[in-house]
Amino acid sequence: MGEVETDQLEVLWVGEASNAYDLSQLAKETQKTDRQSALTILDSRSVAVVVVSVASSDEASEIGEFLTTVSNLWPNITRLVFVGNSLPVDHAQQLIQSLVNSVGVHFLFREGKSMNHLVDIIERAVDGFNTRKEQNRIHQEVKLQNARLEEMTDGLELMVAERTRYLSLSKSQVEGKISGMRGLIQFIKNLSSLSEIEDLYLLLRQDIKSFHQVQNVYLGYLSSDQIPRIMYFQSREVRVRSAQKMWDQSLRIRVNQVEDSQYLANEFSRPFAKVIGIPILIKTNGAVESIEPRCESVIYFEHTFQSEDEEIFLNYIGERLQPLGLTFDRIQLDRQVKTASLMWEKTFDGVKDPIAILDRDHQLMRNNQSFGWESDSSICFKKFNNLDHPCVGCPVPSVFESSKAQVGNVKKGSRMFEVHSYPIQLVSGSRPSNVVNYYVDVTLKQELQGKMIQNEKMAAIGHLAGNIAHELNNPLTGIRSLCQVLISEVEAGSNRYDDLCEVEKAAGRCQGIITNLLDFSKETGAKHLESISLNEIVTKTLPFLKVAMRNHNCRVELSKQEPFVRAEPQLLQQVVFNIVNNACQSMRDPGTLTVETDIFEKEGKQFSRLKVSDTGVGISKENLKSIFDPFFTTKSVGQGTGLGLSMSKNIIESVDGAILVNSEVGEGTCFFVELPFRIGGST
Amino acid sequence: MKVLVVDDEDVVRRSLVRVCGRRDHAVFEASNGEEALEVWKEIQPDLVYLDVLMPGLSGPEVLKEVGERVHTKVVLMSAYAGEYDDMTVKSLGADLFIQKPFEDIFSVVEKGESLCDEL
Repeated sequence: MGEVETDQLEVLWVGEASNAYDLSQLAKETQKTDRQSALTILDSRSVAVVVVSVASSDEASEIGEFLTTVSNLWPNITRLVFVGNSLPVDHAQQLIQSLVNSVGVHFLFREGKSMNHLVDIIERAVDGFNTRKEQNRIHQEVKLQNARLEEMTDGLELMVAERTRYLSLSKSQVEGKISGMRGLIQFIKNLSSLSEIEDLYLLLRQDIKSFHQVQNVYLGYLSSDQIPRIMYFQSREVRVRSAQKMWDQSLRIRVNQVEDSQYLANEFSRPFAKVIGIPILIKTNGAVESIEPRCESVIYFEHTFQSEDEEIFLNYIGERLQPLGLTFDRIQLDRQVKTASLMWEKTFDGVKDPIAILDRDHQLMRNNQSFGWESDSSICFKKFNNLDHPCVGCPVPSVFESSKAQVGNVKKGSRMFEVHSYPIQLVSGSRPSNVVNYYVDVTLKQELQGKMIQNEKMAAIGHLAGNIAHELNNPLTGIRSLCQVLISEVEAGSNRYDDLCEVEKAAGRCQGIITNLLDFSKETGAKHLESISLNEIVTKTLPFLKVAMRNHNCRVELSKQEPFVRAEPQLLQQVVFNIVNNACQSMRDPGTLTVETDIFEKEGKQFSRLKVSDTGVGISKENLKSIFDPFFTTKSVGQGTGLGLSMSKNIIESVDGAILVNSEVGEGTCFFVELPFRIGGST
Repeated sequence: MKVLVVDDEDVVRRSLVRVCGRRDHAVFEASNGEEALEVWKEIQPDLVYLDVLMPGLSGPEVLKEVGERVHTKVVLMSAYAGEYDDMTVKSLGADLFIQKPFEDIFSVVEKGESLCDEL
């Protein structure tokens, strides 16, 4: 390769030329030379055709050699052989044959052919050279391109190999990272379910198990009473001891610092080698800026890492620091909240009065122990009172309506509660979301109030009655007296006589009723026990019940022997009145009321007894146990206070007596009042 | 015997007057305290039936007005028993207390007359 481009020489005539031919006509440029110089010329210039002229057969082998050289050195050059006439034909023939065979001559011509013919051949020879040259060039070009392609392909292959290597490296790195992440996520998950510091310690130990060079883990923390403690593992169990001194308050991670080893050595009375100290809970008292942040928890790793492994371990732990710190914080807070919560609960339950917090639907958010356990329900009226509807008198609805505190009276069994209901806002909004109910047992208070009211009423009535009685007494006295006068003046046995007697008797009866009324309505003042017969009580009281008795039949059987008792006559009258009145009210017309008195003996003692039976609707078994309860009534509101029987029971029991009752629904009821038989002597 | 009946209740007064009248007494009556004083001064009765509770002057007030007296016997009448026993009655200037209502008008008059019998 590397032909130096000089001017193109078309023809180089090597050897003798015949005079018959004008060489300058052969081509654009023709040069004649001998074999010796030819090679030099060929070397320096670009030649298209070489014509070798053969003059004698002696030259044959040299020519052959020359042509071979040319063919080897400049394969593109067209090789032409010119045979002169001086050569005998058969020699020429032989020569030609051998040349053609061995060297590869392109053209051959003999002297004698015309110039045109020669020119023509030369032209073709030149063309041939050009063609070959072109072909060669193309060939070279192709070779070059191929070489370049190969280079590129090699380059690409290298790149691909590199990329593949890189990818597989990345993949394993990524996988490594992923498994690392997974480990971290699992660690965090496990942390979130912990509630004790010991569990956190154990989890950490477990997590770094694969780092065999970690000998032991020491967890320093502040306990709830602000005392620094160190948790460690020994003899297959977790232990805690109080730290003598607080640990290094530095907020950095310290690797192999002598101070840390010394600190632990002091605490555990043994030498410590390399220690990594990592603070995990830093408390800055946010409100007070001047106070230094405190390291409230630290972890020490006693280890035998070499530096590269140390790096790996630190990275590993580094990822876990924040979750550890957060978990620690959370555990502490949980504990605080629990303590506070416990204190509140104890306070709440310690209050002896029932307290409950409800929402609009009477759902219980919370209640204290004193609230009661009528049922397991979470509905207020069900749990407090075992009802399926809100308690009568419940103030809760009006609290929600008015957004103001309200008070209501609610009955639970035999007790009366004053319910103070306060609106509160547990959920943000413009109206109260909940109420707090505070229940005050006012049974006693209400009973006393009731009694007081009753007494006042009685006193007022008594007063009124007294006044009326006195007003009536005067004319009645006169009526009766005048009647007596008239009777004395009229003939006995006559109609007038009999009429006047009736009038007088009637007037007398009126006086009796009035006297009774006056007795009954007298103010009691101090307890004034008297020895009084039940019979007398009955006789004095029954007239008052004429209206109540309506169409009922009334049978009175009083004991022959006076059943004496020691009691306050008015109060006894109240009791009898109450029982008989109830009996009358329980009967639909017409019923039978029976009032009996007797004396009986029990356990060696004597008792005076009053029995009142009716043929009324009776009392159901459920109600039987409640009838003496204050405020218990089957009458509608306003018809009765529900205090009658309760007061009667109190009155009788206060003089060592008892009230008993039998009843059958649909058949009737029977009340027994039993009092110790006492005769004579009043206070 | 001169008897004075003082009571604001007509029926009561009438019945007393009738009975006393039958016994041959000179019977006088007054329906209130002031009237009673007037009649008392005028006739100087031997026996007075005196109601306690009257409009205007009450029975005891009348007695106070009358003041010292020598021979007149006074029977106080009232529905209110508890307040009057022998002591208080005497201190008021009366001789006997009879409770209303009267069970028997005749016994009332007899009681009054027996006071005078003691003379």
